[in-house]
Amino acid sequence: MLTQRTLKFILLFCGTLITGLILGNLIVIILSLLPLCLLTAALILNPPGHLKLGDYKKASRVWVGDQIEIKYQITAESGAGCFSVFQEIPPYFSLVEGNNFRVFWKGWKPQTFIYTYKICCTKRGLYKVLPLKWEANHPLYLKKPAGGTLGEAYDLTVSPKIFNVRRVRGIPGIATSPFPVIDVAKLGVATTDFREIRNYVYGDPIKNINWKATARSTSPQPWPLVNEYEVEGKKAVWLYLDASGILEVGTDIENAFEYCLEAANSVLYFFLDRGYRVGMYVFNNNEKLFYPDAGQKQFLKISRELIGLKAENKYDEFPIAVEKCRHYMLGYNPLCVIVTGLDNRHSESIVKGARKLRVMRGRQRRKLPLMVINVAGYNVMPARNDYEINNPVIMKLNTRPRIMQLRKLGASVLDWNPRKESFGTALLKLMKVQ
Amino acid sequence: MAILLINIAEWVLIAIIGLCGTLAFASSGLYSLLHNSLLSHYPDIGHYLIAIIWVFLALVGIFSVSFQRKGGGFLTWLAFILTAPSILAFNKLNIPGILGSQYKFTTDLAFWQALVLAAVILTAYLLLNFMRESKLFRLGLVKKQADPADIENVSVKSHQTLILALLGALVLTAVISLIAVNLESFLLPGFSRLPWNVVLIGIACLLFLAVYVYWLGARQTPSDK
Repeated sequence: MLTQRTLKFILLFCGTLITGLILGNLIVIILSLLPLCLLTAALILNPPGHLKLGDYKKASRVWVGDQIEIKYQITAESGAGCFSVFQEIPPYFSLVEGNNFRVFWKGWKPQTFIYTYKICCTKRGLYKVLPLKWEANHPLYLKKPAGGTLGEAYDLTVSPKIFNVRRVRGIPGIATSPFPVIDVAKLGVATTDFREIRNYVYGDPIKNINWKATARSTSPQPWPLVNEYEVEGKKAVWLYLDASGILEVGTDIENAFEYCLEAANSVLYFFLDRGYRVGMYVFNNNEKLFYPDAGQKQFLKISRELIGLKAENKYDEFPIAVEKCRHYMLGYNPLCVIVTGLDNRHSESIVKGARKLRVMRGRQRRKLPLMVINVAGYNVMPARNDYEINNPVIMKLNTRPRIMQLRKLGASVLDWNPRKESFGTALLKLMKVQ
Repeated sequence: MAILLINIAEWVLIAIIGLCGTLAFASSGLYSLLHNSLLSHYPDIGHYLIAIIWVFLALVGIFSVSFQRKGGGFLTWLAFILTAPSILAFNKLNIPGILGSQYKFTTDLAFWQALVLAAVILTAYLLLNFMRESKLFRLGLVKKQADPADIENVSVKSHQTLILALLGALVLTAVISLIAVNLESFLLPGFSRLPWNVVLIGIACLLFLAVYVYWLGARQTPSDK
């Protein structure tokens, strides 16, 4: 298709030729040849075409905060001129390196170009990576631009971030919280999962001594080292996740609800990785219950659900959730982990639910196996002025009575500030022993 | 930096168009008439008439191209109007005589000199036109936040192609015009010996053959190509 400019040139040629012929002027006739020759020379050229895409990597599953490198090899086989390539970045992705809009110049010969850029996933979800769009221009803009798409669209799953919770060695003593990880299991059948190498103590089977490691030991007082293996029969963990709309404090990308999901995912990964049976109930939402199970399959099952989870406008359903999970609470006697925000007026329901859990445990004097992870919205919101800097302090003081109530009930409360520390660090603080 | 270079190139082209128009006008009989008349009334202005015309053309060009962001169309028209008296001096047809006037267009320029001046004006106009388009394209790329390095690369290559195409067109025009000018002396002795009906039938056959070849080419499907 020709452009208006081409028509202008044709008119210029016709006009000067006719004028030259009418006047019988050879100069004007010769002048008319100039636009004609230019048009002829230019219209023989075609904009770049026959674009082909080389092999490219399709990332299908990434974590929040991960950087993905998008790289394509584009070969232009025919034509000459410039062509632009553009790929729409899915929503909530940020461009970290490079540019997703590139312009290339193709010469006379077939040429290969590298189109690359890096993006960062800022929010969990299921996204579609659209195909590349290209537009080729005539080198002298005398033909209308040609365009099309390259490649195919593909799905990209962004899972909530898993915080790297480090390994905690079993230290004998009374734990400040009934955290099953640091329970020193004396009984149980040893599995083939290696845990650690430690010094021999009286009573250890002789067959467990690692002779090679003992021989390599450089200690001045040599002592046999034994292999220790994980034992079977670990405790169950029950996760209550708050999916109330009131938690969506902050921006669309960074808000308390998103941090709650990340914390839940991390807790889930942490326990499932260590062989615990983990069940979950999402409250203040449409009653999503996951039966307690162990293994990677359970993690994938729950994690997939967390990717698409949206907050609902429900606020005080925790006591109902406890009631609904009563059967599991009594049957498994699990460690309960509640991921929520306590800095709102509906957090009273969390205290009510904790009381119910306490009642279910009977008249035990032991510490209540309940951990509340408080992701406070006031930590997420950046202060806009000097006055707002004090807001988190006031909000924290406002939340304190509820935290005290929960602690009185025997629960451990983890006040997590995602801006200050990683979830792993916060979790480790809670797991220390007396 | 690149934008500055393009702007400077535009101003140089504007100055060239103005200069060619002024030179062509200054060589015409009409200019002598105007100059003599001005000298008798305003002797101070008359001496600088050429410079005044050139500066006026250059200012008009800079205003329309750089400030109004239009092509060099208006300036080229002005330059051609000024060149017209010199070009019209080479007419086979006496237009003023047909209109009943006794005036005759005259020029001090030779045929080739007039042709070169007119060709330079037209080439500069075409260059200005393409440069404007290239500038708009460049602005579009900047708006779309393309890499500055990519924009520079495309801009440089685009200008190179434009200059190559224009040079090619100029060479082709020169060759055709050389042939056309000397065609008469080459072909006329041969054609004068042929009977007119043979020439007519020959031309008709040639046209028919050309149409047939074109039709054969157009009939091809894209897969054949």
